[in-house]
Amino acid sequence: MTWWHRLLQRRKQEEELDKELRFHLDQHTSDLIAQGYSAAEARRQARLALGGPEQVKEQCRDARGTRWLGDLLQDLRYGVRILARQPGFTAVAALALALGIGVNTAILSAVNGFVLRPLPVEKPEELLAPYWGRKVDRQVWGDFSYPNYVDLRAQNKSLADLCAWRETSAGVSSGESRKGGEDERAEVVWGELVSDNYFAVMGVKPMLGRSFLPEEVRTPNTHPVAVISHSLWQRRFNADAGVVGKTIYLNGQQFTVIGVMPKSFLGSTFYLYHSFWVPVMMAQKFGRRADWQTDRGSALFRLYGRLKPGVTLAQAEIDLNSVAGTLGQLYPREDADTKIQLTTELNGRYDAATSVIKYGGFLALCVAGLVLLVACANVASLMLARAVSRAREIGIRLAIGASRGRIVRQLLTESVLLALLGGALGWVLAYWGADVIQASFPHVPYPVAIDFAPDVYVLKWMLVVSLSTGVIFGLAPALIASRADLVAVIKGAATSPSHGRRRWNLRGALVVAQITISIVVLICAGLFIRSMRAALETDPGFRTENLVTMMINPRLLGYDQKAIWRLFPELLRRIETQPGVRAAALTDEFPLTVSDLARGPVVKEGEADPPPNQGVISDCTFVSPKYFDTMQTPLVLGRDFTERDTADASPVVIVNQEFARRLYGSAESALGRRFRFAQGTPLMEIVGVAKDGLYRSLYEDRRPYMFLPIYQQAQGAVTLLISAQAAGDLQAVAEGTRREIAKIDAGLPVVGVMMAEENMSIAYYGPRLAAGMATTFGVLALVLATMGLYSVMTYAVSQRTHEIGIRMALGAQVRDVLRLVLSQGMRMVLIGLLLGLVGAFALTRVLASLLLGVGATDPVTFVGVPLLLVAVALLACYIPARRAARVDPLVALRHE
Amino acid sequence: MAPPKSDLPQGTLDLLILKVAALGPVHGYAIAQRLEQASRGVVQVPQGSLYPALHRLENRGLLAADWKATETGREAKFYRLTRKGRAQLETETAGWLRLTEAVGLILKLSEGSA
Repeated sequence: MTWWHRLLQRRKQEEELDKELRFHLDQHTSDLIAQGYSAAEARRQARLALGGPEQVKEQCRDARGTRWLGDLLQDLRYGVRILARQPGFTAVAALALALGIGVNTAILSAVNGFVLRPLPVEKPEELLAPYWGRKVDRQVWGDFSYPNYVDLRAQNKSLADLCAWRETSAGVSSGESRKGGEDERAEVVWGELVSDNYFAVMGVKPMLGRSFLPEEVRTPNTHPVAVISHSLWQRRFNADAGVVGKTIYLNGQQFTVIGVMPKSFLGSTFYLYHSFWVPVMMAQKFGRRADWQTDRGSALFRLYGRLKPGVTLAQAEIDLNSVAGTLGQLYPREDADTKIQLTTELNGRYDAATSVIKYGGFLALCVAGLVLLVACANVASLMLARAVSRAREIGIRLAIGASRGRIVRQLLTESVLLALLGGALGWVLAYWGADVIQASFPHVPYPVAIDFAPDVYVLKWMLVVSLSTGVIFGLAPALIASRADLVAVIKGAATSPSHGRRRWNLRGALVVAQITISIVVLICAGLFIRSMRAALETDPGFRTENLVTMMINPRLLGYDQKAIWRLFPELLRRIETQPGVRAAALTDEFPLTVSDLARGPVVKEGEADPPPNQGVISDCTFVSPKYFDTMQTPLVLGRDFTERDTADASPVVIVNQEFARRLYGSAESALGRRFRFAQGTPLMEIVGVAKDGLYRSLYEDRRPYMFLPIYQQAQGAVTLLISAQAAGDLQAVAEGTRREIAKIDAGLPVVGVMMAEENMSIAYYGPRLAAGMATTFGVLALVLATMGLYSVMTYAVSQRTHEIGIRMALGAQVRDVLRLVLSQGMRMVLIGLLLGLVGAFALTRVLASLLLGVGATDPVTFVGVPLLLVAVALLACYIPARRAARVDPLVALRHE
Repeated sequence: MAPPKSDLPQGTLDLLILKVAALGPVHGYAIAQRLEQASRGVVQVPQGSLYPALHRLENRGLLAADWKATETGREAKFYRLTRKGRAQLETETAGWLRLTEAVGLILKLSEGSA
């Protein structure tokens, strides 16, 4: 019989139990009457022999094991009634918990969105991702070249299957590019070049049509077929069920749609959503060089695989490395000393995340946990205060036979109910918080698919958190309340202060704990806010006030290199003639965004290549003439690039001061010198030295950097930089530029138009988010702790009314009473303050790597935060103290 | 004057109930009567613990119960031994006999032979 069955049969069981005992009593009574007792005496004797029928029934219920259920229902009913009868208390407590639980749920959803949410594929936890790299590195995150992928797939013995994929962007249109009219604007979407077995490995089937046939992924450029995403299908084909067989133009090339993926499937990664999948053999149509298929050195692809049954991850990793070893012997130039690291997609995603995301996420969860603890302590002290006012009720229940366990269970049921109520409210807050976090995500020209909304996983955790907070803040008050001194309680003496010593101590400890944790959280918040201010004030080495940027990629429309080199100077000339434009230039990647291009090792003229893994590797970017003028980065020496620095001219380079200093000692000695990269690239002459700046991250130290002329190296996707004469011109300049682009080629899609400060949104995202979250946490902790302090002091004053009345009757002044109450409150505050400062000193060591421009022991924060807290705490104590000072001795003494 | 009654040793009530129920379906009051009669009034059967014990045994599947009419025509809950209950009775009886034998042996030791 299942427990709910029993629940349904409860009533019947109760009736039977009653009937059974009545039968016994009647039977015994009539036997006793037969023995000569009077009817009344017989009934009395029978009752005595059996004992109290209610107790017997209770024991029978116990024996049947259904009792807990009945009790639970009773407790729940009672709990709901109690909570409803004190709406003020319930609201305050539930709100405190909602804030604590909500902030935790929101943070957990964000972390979940980044690293925990599995891909919508079959058995996502079994999807494996190998990474390629050098043996000397502890961890490797590299990609695979196509020939290496083919060999690994054919030669491994441990994987059931192994697929390859590479993301690519493409201009998509329903017609051929340059014929497109005004209504037929091209858009840029992202998609993936995939191997024939890609969908099989992912375990996802198209919703309409089919996936690739093996022969479609065998020979280069022969099978222009595409599987498209649900959203592209809706957008471009109005969700036409007969789309299979229709034509879609990707980069101006005709592709036949063979399938549509289900809505949930967004591609291989958790962070981008893709719109199409095409056979890897079509790579050349997406800007890949003709030798992509054979060049073992160009690591283009990432791989996913699944284990054969019975093979472990460790065995598979050894197997893959033995294949890599063989490849290393066959192709020492590209494959020597390589290693392969095999991990699940989920773990790899986490391990590969930058330490900022990892530590940041972890730290945010820790701090959110602290806020929740403050909320718990807060509600616990409210519960304690309430337990005193309920002492009488509890005492009476104990006196008439309720066990202590039963009382504790009842009180715990109430606190868990309260926690669930708080949890439900918190869930709403979390949705809202997740929206805020999502909205704060910087404007990037990529289809970002990170979903911060809470999901089932988060819901489960939130339930666990709510239930455990209920127990955490409910247990101690329940235990204490159930230890009531019966005699005192029933005599009505429990409210006198002498009996509350123990409770008072616990309540004081709770206040101290709240203050301590708040100090720690507030100091973290202070440090992050200061760090953000420092970040906003950091000079990145360029200026964005009057800058408009936008991205174009003519290669997507099939422009070849020559056409691109004709297009770019012409475009810049036209833009510069627009009114309000001061200067215009091009770069391949805007600094402080997502660029990661690096070249090296650098070999000075006349020197030999350094041994592998040695020498200076320098980050670099490709720029057009006037880049430095447009970005307002001064050249300290030498000249800018010109339109004559083309592929036919002698190679030139501009380096930054740090590059010059590290390789040549100074800017002066670097100018005019020549260097090349290892493995025989031509020598480049240093024609200019630019002032140092920040290139990859606001947090970086000075690093060597190179600027290469964009007209000497092939580039497809570029960012147009237009510097306006005045900030008021930005809108007009942006519009004018778009018009000029459309005049040259109406089919050329423009994406990611950003103005002024927007250009820094990616760079500032981290510090801003951290500061925003830290402020939220700080304010929450402060509010909660203040609420806690205030309610405890109010309670303390109400308990001491009698005593204060006597003191005043004996001649104490208002000043004395104020001092009495304030000193009681501030003693707790100061203890908490000291403990909190110690804790914060310890914790902030860990923060040092996440802070920019402020020391982990920043004096402003470490002095300012305690001052703020003391001020707020004084206020929280002063109001009850004033109330105490207004006590009328006569009223107070008449009180009892 | 009735002889002074002893308390039932801990845990033996269940065994005795099973034994009585082994003789045929029987209701709670009859069990109490039989236990008192069979022990010749020596054992104090705590009627208050009888019913919780019956319900516990029923819950554990050692007893099964049906509502049937008694000789007087009233409906009563009759308990009978299940197969599982019979097995339990056998092992517990054997255990009990072993225990009393051992206790008896120890109590019979004369002080000198220790």
